[in-house]
Amino acid sequence: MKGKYDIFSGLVIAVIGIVFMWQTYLLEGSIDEVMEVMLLPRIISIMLLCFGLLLSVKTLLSKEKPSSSATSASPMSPQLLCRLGLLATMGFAYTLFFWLFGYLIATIIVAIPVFYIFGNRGWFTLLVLPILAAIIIHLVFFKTMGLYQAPAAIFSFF
Amino acid sequence: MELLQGFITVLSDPYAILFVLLGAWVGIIAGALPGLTAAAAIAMLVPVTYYLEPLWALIFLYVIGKSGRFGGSISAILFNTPGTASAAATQLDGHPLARQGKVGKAMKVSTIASATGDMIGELILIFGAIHIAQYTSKMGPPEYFAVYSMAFIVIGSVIGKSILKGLLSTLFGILMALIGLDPITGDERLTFGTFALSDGFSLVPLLIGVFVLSEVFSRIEEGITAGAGQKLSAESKRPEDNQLTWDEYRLCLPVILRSSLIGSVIGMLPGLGSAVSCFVAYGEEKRRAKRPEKWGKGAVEGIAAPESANNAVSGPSMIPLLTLGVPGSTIAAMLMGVFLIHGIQIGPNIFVSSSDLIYALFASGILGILTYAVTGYYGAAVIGKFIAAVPLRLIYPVIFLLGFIATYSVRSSLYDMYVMCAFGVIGYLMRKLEFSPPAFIISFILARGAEESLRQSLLLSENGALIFLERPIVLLFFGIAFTVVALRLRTVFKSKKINT
Repeated sequence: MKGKYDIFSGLVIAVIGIVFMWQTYLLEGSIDEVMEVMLLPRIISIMLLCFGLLLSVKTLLSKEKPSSSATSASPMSPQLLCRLGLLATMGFAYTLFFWLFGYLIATIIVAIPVFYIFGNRGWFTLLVLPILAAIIIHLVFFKTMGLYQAPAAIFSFF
Repeated sequence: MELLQGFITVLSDPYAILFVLLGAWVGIIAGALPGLTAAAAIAMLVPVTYYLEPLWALIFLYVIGKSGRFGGSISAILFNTPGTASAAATQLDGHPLARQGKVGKAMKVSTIASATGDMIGELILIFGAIHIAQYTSKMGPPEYFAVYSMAFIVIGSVIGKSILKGLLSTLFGILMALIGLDPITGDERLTFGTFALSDGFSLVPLLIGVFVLSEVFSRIEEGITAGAGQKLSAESKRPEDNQLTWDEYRLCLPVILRSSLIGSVIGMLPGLGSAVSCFVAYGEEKRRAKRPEKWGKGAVEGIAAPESANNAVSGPSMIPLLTLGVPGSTIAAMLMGVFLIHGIQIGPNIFVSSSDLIYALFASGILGILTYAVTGYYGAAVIGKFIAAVPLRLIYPVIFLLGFIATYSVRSSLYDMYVMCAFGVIGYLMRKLEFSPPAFIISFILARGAEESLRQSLLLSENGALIFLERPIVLLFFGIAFTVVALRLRTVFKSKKINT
């Protein structure tokens, strides 16, 4: 199973190398100018392509049995995948809500499901603590430190 | 003389003293919280330090780095869960000793070993760096490029389990750093035609994403959602179980001194760090021990060796940073970012251009060591009880939210928050697939400097790339890099042979 992940990640890295290599050929200008700007990006892209393919080929040809203690690339349960996916989505959603509603509302909206994902269940920890955390962080960063907050796109308290 | 001036600078500034104290206590708690690490705490606090004077910012983060390494031993001893990777060897004897009820003894050994190792490393930094800087100030662009290349190769091949994956992580970090506007011509490169990418990636969102957010994801996988707090071993009431005897001091002293030297040497080499030094020291001292069968069952020397080694890394890891501009550890890499953010050019000339700042930093390092030593000696068990009482399922959501606001505070940019989320996912995948997030970050930080020195070298050269073969120092650094890779390959092949 670990081998499959390594083969796949090697191929993904090789593709990244190819894509960035292609990008280095998009710059227009004299050969000297282009070489000066794109020398290191090209070298790195080619190395990524080669080493990525090497990883995939090496894993494919490897006769080693996967170590029984190699759990870091072991398959995850659907519930765990769901939890991780939800947390990652909360992260992107937080940024979107931040733009739409400003810091305080965005934090309260997102904090409740995040506290839930981490296993908190009581009404106090799900309702009171997230709001308290949002207010304290707001006071520290925006009031005390004077961090600038741009006006929200739709609505914000401040 | 300059060091004395440094002490006067720090001790005459109440805010400097405050940040030494805060740094020591924040570092201990951050290191003691399983999974948080001093590096993650520094990543989150870097934006906060933008509002501070450069000296205060550097003092705060430098001392966190020191005390965080010690803090990791608290959870290693009390909960059998190392708070940082550098405390992984400490738990081998630390937790068995704690289970015997000798929590106080274990914590005191850890504190004394950490502080002594850190002090030895700090003295090596203070008295060694300036001498090395006198040589490195004569280096030109080709030599600097060779140093950067050596750092990339060594960091990529030594950090992590797989050489290939380490090198791929390094290459990926370099590539990410090159996205944006060319620093000389201003041409857009690798931006895919998007305006947002023309500014490239800022360091802090990457740091917080890769170190903090990915750690939060990992915590979910490790089952933090279940249960509350941690269980502590029952503490013995007998005084002799909570103190060190003279015999135990005498037993530990040579172990501490030898391990400190091991840690200091490892600290000077870019990329190796505390996680390597603690196991090297543990293995070496166990090999030399008169009664190795006692190790792994609560031997006090088994705590002293890794703790002195991992803390001895702290000071010397700053030597390549201050003398060459190449960070010797992840924490040094972050401090490099702080130097640059505050407009302080690092490299050998820093001892001339910012001498007051550097010696004040050294002085604060010594004061920080004394602070965490006193705190740890008398208060480590209390800190452990406090951490056990607070459920981690409450702490990690707050860390998750703090990561966003810390990122936003850099440039008030929502784009940075998206970058942080993306690299949080990438950082988590890197951990799962056994790539190397530290190698990625260090190479991201060094890439622009490497490119600048490469282009300057080619401009200077009359023979193109052959300039790198014409200079003996360049060849020396490349030679070191390939020697390290060869030794690492030899180790890998040897262990494969043993396994088959």
